[in-house]
Amino acid sequence: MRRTIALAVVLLTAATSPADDVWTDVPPPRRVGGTVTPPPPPPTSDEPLPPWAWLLIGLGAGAGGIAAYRFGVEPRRKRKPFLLALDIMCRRDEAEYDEAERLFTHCLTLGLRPRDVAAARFQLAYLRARGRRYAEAVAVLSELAPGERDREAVYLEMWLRYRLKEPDRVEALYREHRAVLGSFMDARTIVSIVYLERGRTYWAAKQTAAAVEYFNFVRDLGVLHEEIPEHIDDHQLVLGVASIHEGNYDQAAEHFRGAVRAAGAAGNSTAPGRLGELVCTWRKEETPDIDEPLERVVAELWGAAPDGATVGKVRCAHPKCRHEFLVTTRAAGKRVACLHCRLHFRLPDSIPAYTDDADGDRPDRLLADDELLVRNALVWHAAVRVFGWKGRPPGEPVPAAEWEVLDDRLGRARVADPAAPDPDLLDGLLRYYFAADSDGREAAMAVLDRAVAAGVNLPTVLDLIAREKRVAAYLADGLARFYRHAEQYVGDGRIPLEYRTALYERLHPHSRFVDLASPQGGDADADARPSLEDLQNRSDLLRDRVQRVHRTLLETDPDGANARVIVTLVEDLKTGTEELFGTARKVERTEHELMASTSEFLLNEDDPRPPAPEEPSRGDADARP
Amino acid sequence: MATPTPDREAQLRDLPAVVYEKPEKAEAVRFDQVNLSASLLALADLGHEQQLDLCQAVARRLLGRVPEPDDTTLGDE
Repeated sequence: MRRTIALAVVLLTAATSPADDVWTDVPPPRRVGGTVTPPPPPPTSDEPLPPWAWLLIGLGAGAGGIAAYRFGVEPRRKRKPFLLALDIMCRRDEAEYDEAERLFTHCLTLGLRPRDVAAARFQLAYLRARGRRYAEAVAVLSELAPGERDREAVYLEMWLRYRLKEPDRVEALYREHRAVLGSFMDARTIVSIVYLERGRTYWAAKQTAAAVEYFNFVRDLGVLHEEIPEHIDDHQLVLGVASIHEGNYDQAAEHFRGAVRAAGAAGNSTAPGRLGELVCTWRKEETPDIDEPLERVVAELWGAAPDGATVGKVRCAHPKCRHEFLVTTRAAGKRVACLHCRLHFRLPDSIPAYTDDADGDRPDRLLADDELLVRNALVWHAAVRVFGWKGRPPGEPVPAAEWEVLDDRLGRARVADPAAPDPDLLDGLLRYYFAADSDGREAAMAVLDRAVAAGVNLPTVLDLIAREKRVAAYLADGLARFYRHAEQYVGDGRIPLEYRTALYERLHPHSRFVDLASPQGGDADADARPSLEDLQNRSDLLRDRVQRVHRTLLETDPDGANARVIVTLVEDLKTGTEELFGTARKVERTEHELMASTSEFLLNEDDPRPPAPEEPSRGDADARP
Repeated sequence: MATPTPDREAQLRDLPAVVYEKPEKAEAVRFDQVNLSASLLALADLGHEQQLDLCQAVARRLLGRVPEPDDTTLGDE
């Protein structure tokens, strides 16, 4: 190109410059006596230009024409599709966007000026981004030279990389062009999302420090910072908790001590850090003694919790959930974790007080973070007391004072969270195991039922409740059956009247049998007398009925005298029934023997048969010849 | 012919907005695991199972056995 231009310039210069380099007869200026004598003017002549001059002029004109075409006409012709496409984009005529894309694509092959090419690339990438062809868009945009990447181009590439799920590239682009991007459009939102996701990824990989660093980046950006898990704020606590999960209690304790120092310096509550330290001791030692230090922390937390907080009704802020909860009105504005969708949301700044709707279901209770800490610390406090009982001498009853201390601790936990299952679980199990009688067990069952309703689903507990209810149902059913059996006995005509009358007289004074009909008829007639099988069946049935109520008899008979009498009677009935059947079988056998022997005897008298040949004896055999 | 200049910022505004998608339930649970307030009982290894074990251990120690429902003699009815 440069050679062509140089040649054209030379030719044009040659063609248009004065003919001082033309061969003429005019002599050059001469120096005469120290002065320059100008040359005489060229003779004007009408002589035609020589052919070589015409040649030069022709060449010059041609070169000029070429240059004009090359630098004037051709660029305009090349830019025409580019300008047309830009015009479409300016008009924002979406119906022609396909044509614009075709034109821009064509432009990239025309050798346009770099600035035009960069503009074409941006527009082409934009059109492809609109069509969700993100990879194609990025490909065309990535060809831009560093100097051509202005704010819009960088933003578009960030947007595309985000859509392509390339967080590394988004992060790198933002770091490289942070100053250019500033707060342009959604740049900070995009990178905040990437940082949040990176924080979560590191968290899932248990790289807590890196996760916390990324959450801090989000906080610095000031966009989406409300999405940072709230409890991530206190790094030392977070690192301490993470260390406990890893089983590194020494390191965890170190972090918690740091949390206590930091909270103290900032004038905040040191209770969380101290609780963390106690958790480390509790987990690390075989027989930890943390009752007193835990008592101090719990007293501090409990003292800070205002009494009689009113509750209000709120809904989960997430549109797909919208679950209803009751929260204390003092939790207004705090962040909570939805019990239904498990996502966090911020409570409204003002929560109207809730009045119980008798017709509607009472919503679940939702606790703010500080309320959760108090509730869980109180449950732990109660459990630590129970743990101390393991050090008591075997076989020795738990003193009443200990039960009072435990009741007090469980009571506070229930006040902190009436819907918590843990206080009822501990309370119900201990009441059941240490129950003195069936009333105690029944009361324990009611407490365990509440625990299950609140969310306890341990198979052992569910099985315990089911078995205990089965026993209760068995006893209740046994009583009903026994009383029905007694009524039938009184009205059974196969039983001698004296017995039925006697039973009637013993039962009728009791309120349960006040309406019992008196026995009718005389003694059972011969046809109605029970067979042996009837007697056996009645005996079995009665013994079963008595066995079913025997447990109740034992529990309502402290010294067991009546129960022993009944056991004896049951045994007598069993023995008597067995003896009766034994006698009956003996009678039948004797009857059979008598019948057979008498018959044979009589038959022998009437029609004697020849005697059966006797078996030869050994002696006889020896006697044969 | 003057070069047309599209409003690139307006064009970028037309692109679908970037919306933050809330983390899934499982992820929220993962974060709850480091919340000292929410996970204190779990950190102290005092879940429901451990509370049951504790009560049974105390009963075994002080009563010599863990009482159970007396249903061994119940009939099949």
